[in-house]
Amino acid sequence: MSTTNNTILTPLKTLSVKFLALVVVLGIAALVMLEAIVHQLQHGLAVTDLASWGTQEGVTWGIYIGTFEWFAGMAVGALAAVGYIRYNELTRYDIIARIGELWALIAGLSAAYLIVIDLGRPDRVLNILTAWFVTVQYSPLAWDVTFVTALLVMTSTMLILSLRRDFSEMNLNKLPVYTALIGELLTLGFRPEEREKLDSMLRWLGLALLILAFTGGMVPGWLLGVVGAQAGWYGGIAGIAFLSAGLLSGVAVLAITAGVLRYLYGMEEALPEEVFVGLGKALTLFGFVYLVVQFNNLLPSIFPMAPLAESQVGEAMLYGHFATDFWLAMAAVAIPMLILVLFRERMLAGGVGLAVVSVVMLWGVWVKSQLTVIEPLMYSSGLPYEVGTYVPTLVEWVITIGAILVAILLFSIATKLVPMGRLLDDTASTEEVRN
Amino acid sequence: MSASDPPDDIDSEAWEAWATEVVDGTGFDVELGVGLARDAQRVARGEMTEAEYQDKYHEAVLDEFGVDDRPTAPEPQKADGSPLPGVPGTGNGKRSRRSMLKTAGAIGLGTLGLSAAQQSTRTVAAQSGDGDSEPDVQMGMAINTDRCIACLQCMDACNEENGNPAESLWMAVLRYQEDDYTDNEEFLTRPCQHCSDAPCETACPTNARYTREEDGIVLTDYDQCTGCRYCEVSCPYGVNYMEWAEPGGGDFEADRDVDGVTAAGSAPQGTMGKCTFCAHRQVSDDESLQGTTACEDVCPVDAIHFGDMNDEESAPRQHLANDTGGQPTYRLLEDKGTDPNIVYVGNEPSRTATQTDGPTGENEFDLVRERHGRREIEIGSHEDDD
Ligand code: SF4
Ligand code: SF4
Repeated sequence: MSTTNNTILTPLKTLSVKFLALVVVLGIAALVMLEAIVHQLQHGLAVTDLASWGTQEGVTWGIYIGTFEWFAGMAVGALAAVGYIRYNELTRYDIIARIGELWALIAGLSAAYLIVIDLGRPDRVLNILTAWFVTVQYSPLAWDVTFVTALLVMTSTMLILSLRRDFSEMNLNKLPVYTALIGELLTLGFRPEEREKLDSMLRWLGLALLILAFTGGMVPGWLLGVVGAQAGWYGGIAGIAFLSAGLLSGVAVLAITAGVLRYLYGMEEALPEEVFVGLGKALTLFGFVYLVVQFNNLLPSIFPMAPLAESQVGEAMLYGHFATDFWLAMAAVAIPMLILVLFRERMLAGGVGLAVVSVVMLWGVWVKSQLTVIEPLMYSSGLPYEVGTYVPTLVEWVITIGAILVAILLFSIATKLVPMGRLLDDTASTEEVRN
Repeated sequence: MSASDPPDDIDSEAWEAWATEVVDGTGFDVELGVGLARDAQRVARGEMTEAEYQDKYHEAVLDEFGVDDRPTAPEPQKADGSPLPGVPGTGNGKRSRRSMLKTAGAIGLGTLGLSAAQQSTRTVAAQSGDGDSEPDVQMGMAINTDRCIACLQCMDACNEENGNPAESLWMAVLRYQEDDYTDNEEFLTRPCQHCSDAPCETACPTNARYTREEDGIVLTDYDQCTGCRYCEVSCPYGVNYMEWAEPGGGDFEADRDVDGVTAAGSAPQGTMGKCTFCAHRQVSDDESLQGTTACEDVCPVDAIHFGDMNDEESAPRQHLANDTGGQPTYRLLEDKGTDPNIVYVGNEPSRTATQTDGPTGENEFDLVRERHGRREIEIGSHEDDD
């Protein structure tokens, strides 16, 4: 097996006009978003189309929260992938683990950021922390804050430790000066004896990430799942539904990133086809599980024996008001999944095909996330209220899409700052023999 | 609250006389009542244990009242009679979720050593005192929807009183029809239900939503609320109104301060408002305002009765005892387990009831349903959707 993967450093060492153009475009998007945020801060949430459910006949949580759920899921999925790779020491997927560490961090931050954006008094977000010692005992929103914090802390730790190892194997002088600086910082006081300890730390931290993903990772689902007032949210499957969406979107975002990197930087050796085959298998599996869970969640509600409130929500989703969105979302997951099953080898040759199907899947999960949040609020049950309405305003769209573009911007910048994986040749090659 | 305060010394004659007078008013066995009261004081002072107290009176209470339904009725016991460990006394033999949580809250604080945490005071207050987490006074309402004529004056009076914008209908009268081949239009007068097991409180991540221990009113600390709206999604009644913009309502003239917490009157921008049971009136120095609400005051058909649900003499209890006119009584969405403190007299809207068109206050009053800046609401969306 050839262990040359020098190309792993290509993103670091090149700075193309195209890249700069991308940064400029995304930067402009960020500025537009900033403008929208300032607008919202000035006028309050009145600039959204959110309204109280009940007599105002609106939905009180909209695409900010829907996108929060999506990002939080993505973070959980990326976290799980990193944990799996690090724990099992899948050296060939090393680069995927690095991409995952970065995405888990960025997606986690984006999720936290959207929560703050959604607050009526964002200046008081710290109140959630000062009250935390009491509220964590019962408020699922406080659990959520706890989970996202844990996720950010553990991901950062993983990122820092794995970078320490990777940098220690590199000749810092060959790297761009700012990367070298980061490397310098992260390898401070590094001694070669430490290598083995680092390896085992990464492995066990990987296991910890895996555990966190599959336990705490359900918390953002429970945020909705424990709310007895809203049919369609309440139920034992909410955590699992969230997790299955997270695994799918987390792996999808890794596949997209890997495909794009390979395409842009010619990283054929660093990202061999087998990696894409592996990612494709994971996507197929998670796509299938996602669909099974979604339908398991929904189908019982349309049986004649189901309670009225549940059936209203289920019917609106399956063949009522939201049917188009719902079925498009499901198709966006199902069709790519079938394509993966049928044409895997051919599709995956370059990683681009996988990136494309991943984008479609990611979009499908996003749409369903929105429906999950919005729909039960719209079809409120219990008292004789009307069905609500909700059409996100321009401000909401700008801030939401802006959040996604800023996440991409952050990742793009990160590719220029830190290596995407470890070097498997030159200095370190001897140590790889044991694999 | 009794007009005269009890003398301090429970063994004095003055105390005896005072207690006799109070108990006499209830029509029950005076000797037993006075004994119960005196020993309750002893328990409070730590001179007697709760178990001793229970033992001493259990039989007598059973004889007199048929049931021993005291807030501190004997706790579940093991077969050998020893108390079950870890079962806190939480009132009425039934353990409410709220009290469970509060116990948990207090225990948690203890272990974390954070008793001084600013947030904890209200929650832990429930655990101190007599050890009974349900307030002695529980304000609530009896609302007779059979009498309601949907004049909407309560809605208007509420918004006036609290300085609410036109779209924040803390009190709302819903018009609805049952699918029962009659054209009968019915009304549901719907304030916050001031639940004893309020899910909105459990949801709140800042502890801004709380129950006032003195009288069981559910309030929002406007200085603490971050406007996350988790309370709103978790309330099954749809009574919460976020202030999306700078509230352009009228002025709120009374004091917003309720025992040092900013919780009365309209909610400031970005925070959550809902019916406060006119909390500013309850804490007012003006005694004629205490125990009243604006909606109750204006109702021309006397459909709203506000008062202490634990006091048999209170307006709501009296209405329920004497004036229901044979109409059924119920609590809204009782199966949600919120333990609401509004008791309705009249027909309960079924789950299939649909809202009917009719004045919602736009014409006579300055009330609207649409949130400012949003499209107009059309009635009948449920049918359209099928
Ligand atoms: S009616 Fe709703 S807002 Fe009022 S106390 Fe109950 S749960 Fe809370
Ligand atoms: S909106 Fe305010 S009162 Fe309601 S849950 Fe959030 S912080 Fe608590």
